[in-house]
Amino acid sequence: MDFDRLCLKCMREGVENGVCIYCGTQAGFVQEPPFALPAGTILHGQYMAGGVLGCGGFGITYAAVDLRDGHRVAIKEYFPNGLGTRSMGETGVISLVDMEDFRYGLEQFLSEARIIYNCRGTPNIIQVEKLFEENNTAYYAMEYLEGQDLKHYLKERGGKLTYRETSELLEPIFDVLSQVHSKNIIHRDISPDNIYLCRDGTVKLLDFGAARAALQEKSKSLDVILKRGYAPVEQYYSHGRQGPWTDVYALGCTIYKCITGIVPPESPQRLQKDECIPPSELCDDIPGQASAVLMKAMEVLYEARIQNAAEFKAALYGRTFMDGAGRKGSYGGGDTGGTSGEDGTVGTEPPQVTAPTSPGNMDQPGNMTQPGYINGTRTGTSKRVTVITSSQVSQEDKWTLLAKRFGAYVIDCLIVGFMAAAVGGFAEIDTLQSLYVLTFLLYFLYGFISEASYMRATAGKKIMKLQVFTSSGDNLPAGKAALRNLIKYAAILVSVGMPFYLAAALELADVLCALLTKKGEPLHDLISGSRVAGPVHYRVSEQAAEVKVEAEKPQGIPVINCVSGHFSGQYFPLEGGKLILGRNAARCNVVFPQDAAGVSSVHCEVIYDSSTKSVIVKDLGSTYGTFAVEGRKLEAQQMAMLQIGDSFTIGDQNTFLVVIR
Amino acid sequence: MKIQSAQCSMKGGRPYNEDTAFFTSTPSGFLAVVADGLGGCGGGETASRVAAEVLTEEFLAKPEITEENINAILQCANKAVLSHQTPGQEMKTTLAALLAHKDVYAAVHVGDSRIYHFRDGQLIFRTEDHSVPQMAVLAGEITEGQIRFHEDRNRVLRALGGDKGVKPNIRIWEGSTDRDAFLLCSDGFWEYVWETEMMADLAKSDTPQKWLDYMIGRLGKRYSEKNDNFSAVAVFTDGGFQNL
Repeated sequence: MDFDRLCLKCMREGVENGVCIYCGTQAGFVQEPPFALPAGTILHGQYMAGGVLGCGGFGITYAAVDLRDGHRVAIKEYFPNGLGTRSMGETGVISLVDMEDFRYGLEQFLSEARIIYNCRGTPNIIQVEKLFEENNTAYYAMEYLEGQDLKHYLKERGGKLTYRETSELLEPIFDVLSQVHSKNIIHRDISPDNIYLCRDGTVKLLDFGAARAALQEKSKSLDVILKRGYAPVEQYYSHGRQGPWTDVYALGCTIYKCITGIVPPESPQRLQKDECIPPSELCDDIPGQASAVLMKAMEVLYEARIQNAAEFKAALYGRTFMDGAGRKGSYGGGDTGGTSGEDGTVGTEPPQVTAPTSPGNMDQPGNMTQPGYINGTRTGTSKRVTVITSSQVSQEDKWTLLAKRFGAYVIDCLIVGFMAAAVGGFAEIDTLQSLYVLTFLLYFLYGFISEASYMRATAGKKIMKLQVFTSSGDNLPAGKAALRNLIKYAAILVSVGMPFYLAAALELADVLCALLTKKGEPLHDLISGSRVAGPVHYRVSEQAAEVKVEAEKPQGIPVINCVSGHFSGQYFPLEGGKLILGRNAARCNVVFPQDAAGVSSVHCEVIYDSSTKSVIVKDLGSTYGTFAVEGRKLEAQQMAMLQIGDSFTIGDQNTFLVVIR
Repeated sequence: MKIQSAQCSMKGGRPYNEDTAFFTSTPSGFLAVVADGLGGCGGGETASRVAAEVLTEEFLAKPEITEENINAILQCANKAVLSHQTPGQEMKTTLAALLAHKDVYAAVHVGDSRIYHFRDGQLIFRTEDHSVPQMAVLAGEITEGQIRFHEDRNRVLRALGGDKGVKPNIRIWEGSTDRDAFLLCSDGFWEYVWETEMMADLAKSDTPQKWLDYMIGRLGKRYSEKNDNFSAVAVFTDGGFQNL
């Protein structure tokens, strides 16, 4: 190597008369930023680091040369903004915070390098050559790429590309993501600046976001943690549910940026009011179906999103896919996120009932039993919405039920026992009888309160997956819960001033009744008209219960979109009259399961008023209320007017958003 | 007829107080502001002070309550904060401000500092935080009541000092009754004082200072040594600001 001609900026032998013929830098240039390593620093006894190629929130990348054979490499240094610093001209990094935080980030940096190193067989991921620690920090040397990143390429091409070019350019990224995901690695940081277009035509995926993720807990500034506009909502939480779908969102946004020239609105903002313009309105050559797929990949909530890169690719490149359960589906048309009016028949698949794919599919096989609105068809011009109602409370084998109830009883006794011991100790109760009364009083309160709550079960029952219903299988009202427990512990009253074996006899009668009756019901359940049963099973109802909402594609008419809770990710059209929400299958057309927490049998209704073009939600006397507009509770029969973008909530976090599809 | 205000700003358990709380009433308008600086090492203090100063100057120079004007003022404040940033110190600040001129009012906020509006002793409005927990509420992941305990409650989604401008939430309305009360406060304050308690204390108070004192009393019992800075401005209207 001719060191006299070596340009310390670009690390090529091109210096002539003090100026580099390749990059135009003068010898003796000033390194920027000032806290970077001085140009010409030797690292690991093997590399000479030169000019800064890039500087991010947690690292600096240098151009470097391998002194053994003269080949150029890029070296990345762990240098977290705000956690470490360096005096000008020095090499050692001084940690600004306690060593532990710095060290933790460093470990994550190395683990990121290891991830990339482990993917080295993949041609579309940048290759890592060496990992080492020096100067109180860590480095990794990787191949030097010639070309430019997608961000700069976009700028050069006037801000945007055609859909055709974009889809050809980025096709390898789908495959490389699938491979990475199969190793249980999530990239977490896909964006135009992390996709590199090499001069020879290959596309490479750069930096993984592992190091970013590590800073998550330490940094206040979200900009260090994620890339706004590309990061999905789950990345904003420190323990958000991230998965392949996280990369799907970011890749969707990257494609969106490429074909429209604009970065999509930040995901938290979209959550509040989704102003993301469908790509078909901004890009001339995108097919309507692809536009819909893209919107589906960019769904704000991950449950509603396309779940992995393979599915995304198949949907975008026009092939059907098989998901984990072996069900076939194809995206496009009707329910894929609501974009253009094109409702083309896609593929050759016959119409079939398919629940929207959700991450739950992976770990909960048999999700077909999920009750609710199902987007019945994926083809054709009209959308049929089928309501699936629950069958009655499942019938369990008497002895299984009794065993479960006994288990629940033991757990509850332990809980109450502890409570009684604590209260008794505190109140210095020492006579056995008083303690006995206290225990039963506590047991009564405990049972009543937990069974009257929306859980409809005591802790023990919850653990044993049991719930208390009325004899008709409805949710137990508070009055009945009180009666049920009062009878159960009538002994409390009896035992005051009486020998306590009388109470024991009552308990015994209760148990005997359970053992002898056909259905295994104890005395107190028989008297109070309540029953205890296992989880409710659902099945698709027969023709009779099938409600058809035949509808044209809504044109500017609002629909309500369930953004969280039981029907998460599903849309309910409003133009077919009113929607009644509740658990009662006979009266409601959005039917919640019997155990839906906090949802009354007839909870509330949603009406679209075409004269004023507004959506009205009305509480129908629900027990736990309907919450609309800034969380204000509606009293029974009270109404609230909702605008597009407003939401209302019923029960345990079932939130519906008014949107235009 | 006049309005009464009181303010407090304390450093809690932190080495610096990075909050700024301020109010002023001049013939051209009324303004109250709470800003909560982010950045550490004193940077946040600069950010919150600069934002409050620029806001005050610009508003009193042109006390016009329109969305355009307020937005322009906020962009100015954003630039001012930005101009104080250095590569190692990218300080930012949240901001909550109540502006009034004649009989027109505006509540403007960026970040997780809040403005509460009480009328006849009842809470009728509060600003929605630009924060991760508020987002979680919108996503239906948590309920409003869980915001105070969310692990990501320090994560602010919007702040002054971003290089791409700032998007404030602006609420403008006309007219006030003589029983309007406002509370502007930083997260270090509202995290420890429940809305129901604010109302209870309001009912007991005949001056904003007393109201603040009651609430600080509650806060003092709850906060730990690691507590954030806390600041608040309390405002009582007495027949509105129209006579300013």
